[in-house]
Amino acid sequence: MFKQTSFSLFLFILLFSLNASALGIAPSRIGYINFEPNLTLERDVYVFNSEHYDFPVEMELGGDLAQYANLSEYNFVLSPKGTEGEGRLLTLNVRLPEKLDEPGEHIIKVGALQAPPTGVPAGALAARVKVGTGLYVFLPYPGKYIDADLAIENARVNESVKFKISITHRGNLTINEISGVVEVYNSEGKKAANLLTNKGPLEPDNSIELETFWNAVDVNPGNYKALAIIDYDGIKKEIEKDFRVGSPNVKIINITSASIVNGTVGKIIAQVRSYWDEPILNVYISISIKRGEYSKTVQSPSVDLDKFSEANLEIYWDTADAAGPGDYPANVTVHYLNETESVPLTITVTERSWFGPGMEMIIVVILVTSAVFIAAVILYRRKGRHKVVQKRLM
Amino acid sequence: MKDISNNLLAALLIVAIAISGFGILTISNYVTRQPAGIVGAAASTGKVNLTITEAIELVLLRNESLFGAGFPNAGGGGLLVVTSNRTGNCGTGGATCFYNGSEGNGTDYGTAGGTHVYPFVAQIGGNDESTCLRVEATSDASGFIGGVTPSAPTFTFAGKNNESNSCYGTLTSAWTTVSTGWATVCNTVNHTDTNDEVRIHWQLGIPEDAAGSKTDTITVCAAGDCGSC
Repeated sequence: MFKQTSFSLFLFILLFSLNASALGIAPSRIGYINFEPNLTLERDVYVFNSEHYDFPVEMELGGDLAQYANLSEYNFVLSPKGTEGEGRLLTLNVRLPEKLDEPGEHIIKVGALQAPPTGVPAGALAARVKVGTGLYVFLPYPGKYIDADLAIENARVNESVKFKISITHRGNLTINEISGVVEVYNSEGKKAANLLTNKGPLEPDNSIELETFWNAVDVNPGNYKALAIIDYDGIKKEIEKDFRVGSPNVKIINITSASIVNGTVGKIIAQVRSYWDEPILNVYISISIKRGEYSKTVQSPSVDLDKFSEANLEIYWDTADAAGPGDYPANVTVHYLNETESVPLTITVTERSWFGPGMEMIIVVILVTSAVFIAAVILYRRKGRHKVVQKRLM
Repeated sequence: MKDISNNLLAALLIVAIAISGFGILTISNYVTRQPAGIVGAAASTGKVNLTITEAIELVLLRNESLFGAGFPNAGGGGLLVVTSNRTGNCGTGGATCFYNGSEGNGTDYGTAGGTHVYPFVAQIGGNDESTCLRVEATSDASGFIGGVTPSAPTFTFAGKNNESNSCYGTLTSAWTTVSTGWATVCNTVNHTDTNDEVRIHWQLGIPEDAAGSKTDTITVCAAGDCGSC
């Protein structure tokens, strides 16, 4: 028996339909400024309707500096898209305080929300859209403080890999010299390179780019890690980032396919090799065979390839329903990690013949048996004559 | 009539000759005023300023996930878990069941009020290269669903690309708690037409003793930076 509560109807309607809803805002980022005491500024914010009906909008300010900002308008209705009044240009007025206590990043968020729906029946839940943008205000750190980002362009084997460290000085004291070292490690954690960047001084609120290159000559394709160590007047900061030389690659390196007798099942063996320094899972081969109206695709079981390893994948093709003897153009395709690579192949199907495979042995057996029989007969006759001569002599 | 036409033609001829003469004189005068004639290509520079502002547009192609009405599990059945991407959930104890989930596909968003519950589908427009997509609720699971037996309710979401590579940053694909604070569905959503749609699935864990009508508001936010939502 159920409990009393379990019989009560649990009305549960999540997110009652409000039709599609859409709202836009520009700019997507108002900006990034350094803090200045009592700084006043104005910025335009444009809110627009992407729906073909009137759209009530509520504006809101947020973030830790919201109290130092206001908008020219907070509630309005946008006209349908494509009509006059589809968008509204607002002014964000900001007056920053005399001082901020915490160095670092602060924000004034500007949000445009779909107004709460009206007339929603009880038991229904509402969904609303919001688009947001923000004005970031940065208070420099005392002393020397940098923000740094490491960008790496993936490259192919035997190409040059570029490492770019973008640095912005967020402190308030001049950095006399800033430089970097980029250490490259392979997937086994062995250091593959040690690269020095350019160097230079850096003033507060200024930026510098440190660059270096690695010639990835005769290296294994695979995943690598770069560790950038930035040194600014004896202070060190490290950034790590993974990058790739080459890309996961599996190739068909050999195909073994003997002639197949018409009506029998033939075996095709494809030898594949991984050119990647990590395992590649679920690698398999398919063969698409076409001749005239006949078309068939057969597939091998899948295997996991260890790094830089090889495997033989077998495919069996039943020619019972094929289009008879002859050459069949085919494509052998290796499938791995949503990638494929194909090579063409011609498979020959031969006539079934008495002198086909297996018949040679039968003929040899018959010939040997016949020879033994004839030899036995000859020996028997000679032996018979020998006995007759002996009797005559006696 | 014929005489008038000839006179008119003569007058027009004189006017044409006069205009031609004036033109020749004007051009001659212009050329003679050039310092050294045209001896090569002269270049001057002008400046055209064009600022393209990045804009964000959020379209909720579907903003409903209709679970319908039903019964929670009864008599020690535990939390009844209903989701928008899994079939087979119903609840026990009556003929009325919650709708089953359905993954749907890229373009078929289902019919509102049908027999499946479909996920939200958010589409990012505009020209911002990396839009952050987040969700928050007015109430958390306890405030929204209620009940405590055998355990507190759960209310979670999970993101999934509705078009390939729409989220090219970090996609929250594991079930993640929906709360009154912002939770990120994807930190960088593409804006190109064929790669700009993300599904938001919902999962509810309904205790045995939850009952009655429920209300909550989900806000889906798109912003240039996740911190701006």
